[in-house]
Amino acid sequence: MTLLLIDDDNSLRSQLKFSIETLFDEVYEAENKEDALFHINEKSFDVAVVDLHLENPYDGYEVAKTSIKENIKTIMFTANNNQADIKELIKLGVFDYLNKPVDIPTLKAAVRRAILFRKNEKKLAKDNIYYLNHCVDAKEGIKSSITNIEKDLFEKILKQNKFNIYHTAKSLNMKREHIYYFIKKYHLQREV
Amino acid sequence: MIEEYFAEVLILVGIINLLIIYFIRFEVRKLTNSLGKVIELNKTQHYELESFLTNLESFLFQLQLQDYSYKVYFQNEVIQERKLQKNNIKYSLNETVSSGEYAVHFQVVPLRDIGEQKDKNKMVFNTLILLIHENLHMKVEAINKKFETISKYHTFILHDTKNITQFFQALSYNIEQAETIKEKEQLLDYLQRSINPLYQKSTKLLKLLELNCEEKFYEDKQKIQLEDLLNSILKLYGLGECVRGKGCVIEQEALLYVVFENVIKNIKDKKEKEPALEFKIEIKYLYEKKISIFFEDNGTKIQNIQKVFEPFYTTKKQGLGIGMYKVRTLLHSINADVELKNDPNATVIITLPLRWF
Repeated sequence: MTLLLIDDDNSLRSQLKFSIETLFDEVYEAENKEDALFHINEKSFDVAVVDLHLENPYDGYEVAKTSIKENIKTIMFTANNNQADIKELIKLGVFDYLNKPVDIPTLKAAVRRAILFRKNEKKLAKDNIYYLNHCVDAKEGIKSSITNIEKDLFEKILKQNKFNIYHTAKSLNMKREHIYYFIKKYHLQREV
Repeated sequence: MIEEYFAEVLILVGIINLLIIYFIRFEVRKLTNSLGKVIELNKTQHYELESFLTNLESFLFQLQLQDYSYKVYFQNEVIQERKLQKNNIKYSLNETVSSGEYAVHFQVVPLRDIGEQKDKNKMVFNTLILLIHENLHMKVEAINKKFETISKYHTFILHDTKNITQFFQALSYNIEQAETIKEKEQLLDYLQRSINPLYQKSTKLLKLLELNCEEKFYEDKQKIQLEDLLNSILKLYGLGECVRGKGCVIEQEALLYVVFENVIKNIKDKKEKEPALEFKIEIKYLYEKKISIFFEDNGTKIQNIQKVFEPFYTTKKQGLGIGMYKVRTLLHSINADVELKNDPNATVIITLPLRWF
């Protein structure tokens, strides 16, 4: 299990690392949005603990957006207690939201829960069963929601198969022509 | 004969015309040069309104002005002024410009006001007004920018305070959890790396907290024995209890505490610079249902007495220039007032309204 710990406060980050690093095989740290996005791009993480307020007040939101997209169990760990922000983050699909200051056993319990979910999701993926984290706006209609879920599922499996058309088609029980059709439909590109 | 006569007249007219043109050119050049110098002066004074207005005096003759006067207002109170040398003025140009809580009334008395000189006077006056307006605008902009920064800092304060609290929670947990020597060494290593950023963060936070000038006081008004409150603050600052007189008001204690603390802190800072300084605090009942507290010291006089209440005005090296501004803002919010005097000694007078239950 790998953890990405993102907080702009160096002293706090080192203490948090000390508290939870034994739960992981590897721990990476980032103090700003750029570092965090670089790590997410470079490596596959299982859990991310993200401070909402990095160099700029909402940098953590941008990081969470990317980490959630990359199937990382994202725990927001922030001093921000704004209800509107909490609503937005839940809409985004964060795994947990902890308001600083919290006692370390509570943080550890949240991290342990995230690890448990992530481990089991990985096991399910081997059986070709995927966990999709979706927030749907009913006003936009069923069709739009279906399209979003379809795109999400397709993208997830394509990425997991490293853009291998044959394996993706096999996972989705589809013909290769259909895979090309969806790639074109959703403008998907292999990340360099 | 007649033709020769006409030719001579024509030559004469031509020469006169040329002389007039040269004279006008000379006058215009002289005026534009002078205006250019005034603009340059403004630049060398870093577009500071007060110093620009003061130094304008040395350009009076070049601008063909006899005299000028101005009044700079902050919150409708005069903070800087220059009066005319003579009062019986027949002709003058004047205008008031304002921006934010500041206003400037500017008046010029030209040397002459006949013929084309009137146009020149208008040109000079309009240029000066334009410069004053620009300087005033820049001053207000600078102040607004500072206030914006402060409000931005407030969001950071919350974030940083919670982070520091969280740090200590994590640290105490980690100290309890670290059992082996290796773990303890690792914790020590993390801690060593943490100390510097933590110290910087705490210092920054404490400094920012001092800037909190928009405090709101929601507590109920209560009966306050002024001499007790003042003595408790004096004791806190190690200045000894020296309040004369007694007084009682119905007010919000936290608000009065902040006000008195600011004034007493200034006395303490002054005493550090001037160890021989002696001071006294006196409470006096006044007519019209008011009570005054006199903070008087025999140290150096208060510099720039009119400017003390302006935000970010300070004479201290490390000062933020927010203390006395905060004092006046808070006092105005409860219909009280603060006044400064240098005669015979440097004195801060706080006048509170008397209320009854």
